[in-house]
Amino acid sequence: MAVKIVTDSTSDLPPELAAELGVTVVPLTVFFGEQAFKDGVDIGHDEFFERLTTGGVLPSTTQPSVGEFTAAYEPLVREGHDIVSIHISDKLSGTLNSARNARQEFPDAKIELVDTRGASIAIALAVKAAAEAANAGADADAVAEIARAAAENTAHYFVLDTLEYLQKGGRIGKAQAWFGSLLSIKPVLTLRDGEIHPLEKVRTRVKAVQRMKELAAEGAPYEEIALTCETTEAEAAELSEHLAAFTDRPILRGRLGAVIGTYAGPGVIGFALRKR
Amino acid sequence: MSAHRIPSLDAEEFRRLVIAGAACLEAHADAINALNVFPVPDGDTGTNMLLTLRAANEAQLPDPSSATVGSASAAIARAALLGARGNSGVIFSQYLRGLAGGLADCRECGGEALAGALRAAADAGYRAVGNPVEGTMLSVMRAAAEAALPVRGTPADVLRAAYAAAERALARTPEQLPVLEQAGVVDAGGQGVVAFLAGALGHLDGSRIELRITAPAGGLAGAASAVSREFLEHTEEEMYGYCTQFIVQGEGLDADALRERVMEMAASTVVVGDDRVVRVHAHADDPGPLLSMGAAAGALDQINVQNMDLQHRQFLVSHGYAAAEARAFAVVAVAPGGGIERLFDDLGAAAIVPGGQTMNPSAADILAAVQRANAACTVVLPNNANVLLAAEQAANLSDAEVVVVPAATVPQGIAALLAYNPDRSGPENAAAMTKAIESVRSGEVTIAVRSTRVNGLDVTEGQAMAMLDGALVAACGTPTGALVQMLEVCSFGDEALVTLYYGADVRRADAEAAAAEVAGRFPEAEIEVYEGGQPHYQYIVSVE
Repeated sequence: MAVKIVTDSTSDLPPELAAELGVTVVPLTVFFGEQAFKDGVDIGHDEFFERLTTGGVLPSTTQPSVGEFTAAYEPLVREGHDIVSIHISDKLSGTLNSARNARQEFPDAKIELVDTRGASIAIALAVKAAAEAANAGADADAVAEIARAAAENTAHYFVLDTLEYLQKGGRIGKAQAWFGSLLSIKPVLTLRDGEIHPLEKVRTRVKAVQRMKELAAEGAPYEEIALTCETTEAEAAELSEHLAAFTDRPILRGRLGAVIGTYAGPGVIGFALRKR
Repeated sequence: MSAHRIPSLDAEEFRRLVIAGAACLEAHADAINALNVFPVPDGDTGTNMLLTLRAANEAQLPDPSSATVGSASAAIARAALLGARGNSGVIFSQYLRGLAGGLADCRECGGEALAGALRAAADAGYRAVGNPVEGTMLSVMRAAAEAALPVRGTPADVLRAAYAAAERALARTPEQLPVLEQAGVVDAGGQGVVAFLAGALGHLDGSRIELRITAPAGGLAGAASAVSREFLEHTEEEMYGYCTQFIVQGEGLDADALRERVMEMAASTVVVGDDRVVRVHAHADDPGPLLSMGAAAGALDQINVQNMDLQHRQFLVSHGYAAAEARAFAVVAVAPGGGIERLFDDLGAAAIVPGGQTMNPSAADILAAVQRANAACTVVLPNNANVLLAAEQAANLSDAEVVVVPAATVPQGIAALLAYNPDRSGPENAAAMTKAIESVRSGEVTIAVRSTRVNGLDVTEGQAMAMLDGALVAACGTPTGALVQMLEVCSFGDEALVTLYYGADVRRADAEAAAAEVAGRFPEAEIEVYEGGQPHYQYIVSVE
């Protein structure tokens, strides 16, 4: 029986692609005050960012419950599939912990857990690589290894409009030193060792994107590239075209989900670049 | 025997020669400052060369009984190298070093040796500059050396030929540099060299040489002189003396009265306390009278006297600046104002060199900051075109590894410092920081201290003027007007970020009003305002 891939909503995996690959996405939850929204299910991207920036209330998030994971694993196990469950860094979220606890409900099943040490579309790239291998017939151990290798070989660069959301959400990691700087800056960040690391300080978004393009060029070519651009469609199209030169595969375009958006804030641009 | 017939100079006579040259330069410093093509009160050639020479004259000479012209000139040159400030000061310090090099083997200095040394001095001057340009002090140095070489005679004969040739070369500089011709002046640095040679010659042959320094069209402005005088007095306090601290303990002490008396005797005075304990800190040429006065008022304790010239690092430690823990890499930045200092500090600079009133720190000032930073590899950001050479000089004089990233303006320095990443290696950082400089354009708005003509523009004393990347682009009635004109010339795209760093002469409200006007004229750009606190420049502007 084919290996099945499970991931969580912080992967920002486009829903059509998830369906196409047969990947199960377990959603986290975003709270605006008392109101709960399942990430990627109950609230659309634009609606989320609208509420984030104008709502006056800072949202909070929770990882999926153990029950939500067992509900996801159960039908797959019943059908006799092995599972590779690929998730956000456990330094950033308790999601992997819930998955770990859920796995214990299925002592006879083969459920491999993968900590991508990343977030957002970097996870999507690992999931895609794993799903392609699984659909081609690879076994669970091989698929899990492919997922881990993909995650390790993926560089992820992003620029935030502000560090405020990371700071308030407690995910700022090593970029703490840059918070509250006297001079306004646009931080170019990366995820390394499972947490946020500062890369470059620049003063304008234009420069930040320029630097990110240079960083991308330095490591080119890539097996696959994923892009999220929450500014304008024109900018997204320009970036997509620019990055296309660095890979043979089409650029994977994703939107920032509510959970990632809670910590990253609005106006984020990020690319994940996976090497073979 | 009259001086001009002396066949050779000994160490003491050589020293007096340099002092005489310096004295003549000092007498004409204001006139030389007025020759600066840019009518801004910083980077004054006359002042910088004068201060460099003053440092040279403070040199500790070897014991007179054993001193040779070689050892004396070397000591003088070394002091000049350390005290050099401003590009012209640094080039002149290299000139003195070349001179010393040419006299290295001399016990005494005859005419021929002096001629050879003048050649070596001119060569050293040329080597100091990355891209030597004719029509500057270099041409004057070279002409003096070429005229001196064939002379057979006394040092006075040699200097006479040198001085005459220098004067002629100086007169030609407007033909060689269009910007001089336009402003109607000769080269300021060249005039400084001529003044030095004139003073030296005058000392030897007793002639009183009248230097005729032509003021630029529009006349001298009193403002320029006022600035230099103020600065000279200010630096006199800082450069020399003993940092003296102590506590006075007793009964019924009067801190205010003590403070008044200390202020009469010393500079940089801090006196605090109550009727039982008073803490005194001051800089004085002689610590004795200060201590005696304290001892007369009560019991002295925690006495600490440091010779500031000789012991930079010890001075800082005794003031509670803990020497930073040794680290692999650090950045030292020159900052012309308090606000800019805070920005550089916040951005991660390990040590700041305060720019001072004329924004031109000496090589020694920069070295002291490098020492404070205490790193295996230090990058220096001069942040002013007129500090570049002094920074290079400091790098050459330092035992540690020092790299100058050639930021020539504050905006370039900020861009460079933003590119600094402690996770990267020294060479990688230096490369990234140098590259970052290209990504920003720099503007300056100031008030002209004299009337002149530069870059095809007529500037009237008192007008606001704006420079873009070092070139004068606007002269206008108000700083805001000049600022807007400069930004129009700049032409930037959508989403550009214009940052205004306002100077000490500008109130925040006025800066914000200027920003609002700029925002109105350029709606596609973002405008930010920060306090810079720099003297002389109403606004330092970055466009990126």
